[in-house]
Amino acid sequence: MAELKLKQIKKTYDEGPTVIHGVDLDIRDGEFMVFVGPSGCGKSTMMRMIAGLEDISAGEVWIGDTLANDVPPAKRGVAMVFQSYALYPHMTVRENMAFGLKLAGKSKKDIDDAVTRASDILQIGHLLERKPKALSGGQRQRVAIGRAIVRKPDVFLFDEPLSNLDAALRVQMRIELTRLHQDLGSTMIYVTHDQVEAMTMGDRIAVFNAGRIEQVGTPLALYQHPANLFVAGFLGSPKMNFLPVSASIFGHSTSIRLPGGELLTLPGARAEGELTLGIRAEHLRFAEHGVPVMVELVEHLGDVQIVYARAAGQNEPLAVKLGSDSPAPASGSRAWLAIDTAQCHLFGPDGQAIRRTEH
Amino acid sequence: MEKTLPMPLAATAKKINMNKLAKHTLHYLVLTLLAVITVYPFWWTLVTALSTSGDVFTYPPRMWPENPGLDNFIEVFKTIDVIAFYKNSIIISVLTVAGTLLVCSMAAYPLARMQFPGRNIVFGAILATMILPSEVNFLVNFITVSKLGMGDTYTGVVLPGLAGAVGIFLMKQAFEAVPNDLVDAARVDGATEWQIFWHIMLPLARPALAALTILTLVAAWNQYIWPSIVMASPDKFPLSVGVLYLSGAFSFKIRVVAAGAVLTVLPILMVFLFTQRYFLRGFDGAVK
Repeated sequence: MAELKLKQIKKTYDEGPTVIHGVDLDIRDGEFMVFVGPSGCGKSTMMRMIAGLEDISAGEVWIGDTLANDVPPAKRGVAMVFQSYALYPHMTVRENMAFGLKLAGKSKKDIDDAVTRASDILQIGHLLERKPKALSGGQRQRVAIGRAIVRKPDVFLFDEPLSNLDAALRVQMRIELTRLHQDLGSTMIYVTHDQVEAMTMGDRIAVFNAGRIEQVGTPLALYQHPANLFVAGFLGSPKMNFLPVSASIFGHSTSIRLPGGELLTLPGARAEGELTLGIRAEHLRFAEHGVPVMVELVEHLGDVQIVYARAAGQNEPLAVKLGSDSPAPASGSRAWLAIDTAQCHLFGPDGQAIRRTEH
Repeated sequence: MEKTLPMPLAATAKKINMNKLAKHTLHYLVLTLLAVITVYPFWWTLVTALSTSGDVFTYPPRMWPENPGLDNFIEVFKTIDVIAFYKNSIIISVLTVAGTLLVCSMAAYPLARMQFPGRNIVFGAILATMILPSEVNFLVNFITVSKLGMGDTYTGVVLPGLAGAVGIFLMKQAFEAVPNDLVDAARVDGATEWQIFWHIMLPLARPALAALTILTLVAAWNQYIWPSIVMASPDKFPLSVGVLYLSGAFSFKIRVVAAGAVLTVLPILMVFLFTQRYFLRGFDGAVK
């Protein structure tokens, strides 16, 4: 087990752009850290640099007390699970899991013990003599994790390990991975573009965008207090609604004018000018009066309903989350939305969140 | 009840079927013609070797042997030491195949998997040698082999041909087809470059290795001019060279020479028959 420190990490390709722009991050010993972000945001590259599969253009990677920049991958005490599983197709499951230990010169007994222990944890004992092509996707995934476990790494690296699985299996493996983390207590770094995985699995989440970390924090902190427009829009489903507003300070509150001319008072906020109002779908509700909207679509998801309603002059419809038993207006009807002002977020012209004092 | 198509549709379907039939017939006609042209020389040689009487050069040529028998084959065994020549052929072929697999795959690996300056130039230069006829190399190779004291040795015959452009190309393609993640996984598992090559790359390139084995085997077994240049002592000749002793300066028994030719091609033909699917697969991979 080990903590991991990233100091001003940069990655620039020879004839290409800079893909990581100075990332700083401390990952605590035993922590489950999730790197989340859209495709091409640099999260996988960051992980590959930690693994030693990519050179680090600038900055320092500390694993435990060791500066790992020039340490070869196998000596860093990391194990990696790949999105494609990357099982050696010509080797049996047992050989796949034993390969790393064999290269490390471990005795046959040690190898057998380690493979048995890992296959017990993952319940793949009956698959040990099979080749990868005779396994299902979920089984391959387990073997890939087993191959990581046998090496008893200080840090586990997971690169989108569940994205090739079907939805049901993904949920199951998500739970198993979380349990595995609790059992092993190892430091784990998990890359995903799936915000549900990020929210449910991570002790903390680092949201990546365009080669930078936008915000680091616990899932709930990120959800409730996004630092900027990107994080606010990325986490949460349906995504946060945004409205352009003009604000003026009014005593200890801010008065904001919605695009349709309606006025709202936000206690605890002090900002003025052209801003963006952010409001999550669950903080909007239909009322007798408020923001007039035209209902476009109602999605019934079983436990909840998502109503998409467009305010006058807006391109994007607003998403409203209702309980399954709440009455929802019919598509095509007119309705009024009430906004829970205590739960609103304000973002400045630079996209950064404007802090609200407790109210 | 059988469904009947409406008339216009049925007519169209029939037309398509006829078109298909005509196309297939044409394809098979052309292929049959090509097969006959390719196979006939071998067939003629076999017929000639098996005939024990009659004129060899009758026109139109014979399709079946006259008084078939193995007399000519027996004479081959009496005239030359076929077993010794076979042994030489096998030694040369095995050494060539083993050496080619090793050299070509080791040359192809860095070209496929490592970044170094001039990589494309090196590969281009290797490919460029493909346009040269092999005879161009004979003079240079002969001087080199002689100066190295390898004249009249198996090594002298085998060594110059080991690093062939075709083999390097074939193996490079095969290595490039191995997913990057496997190499990364091996690297995290602690494999050195050599271990990645040996434990991951080579086993995964088995189809290409099989194809290269057969290609090389056929070429090594059939080569004639180069071994006859390097080898001075007749007892080291491979069968392809030794069989020429059947046509001496003063005697020229064409049926016996034909029997010798049949004995030469027979083993390689058998190998090819049993392994042709690898042969084709290897090329398939190379073309894609």
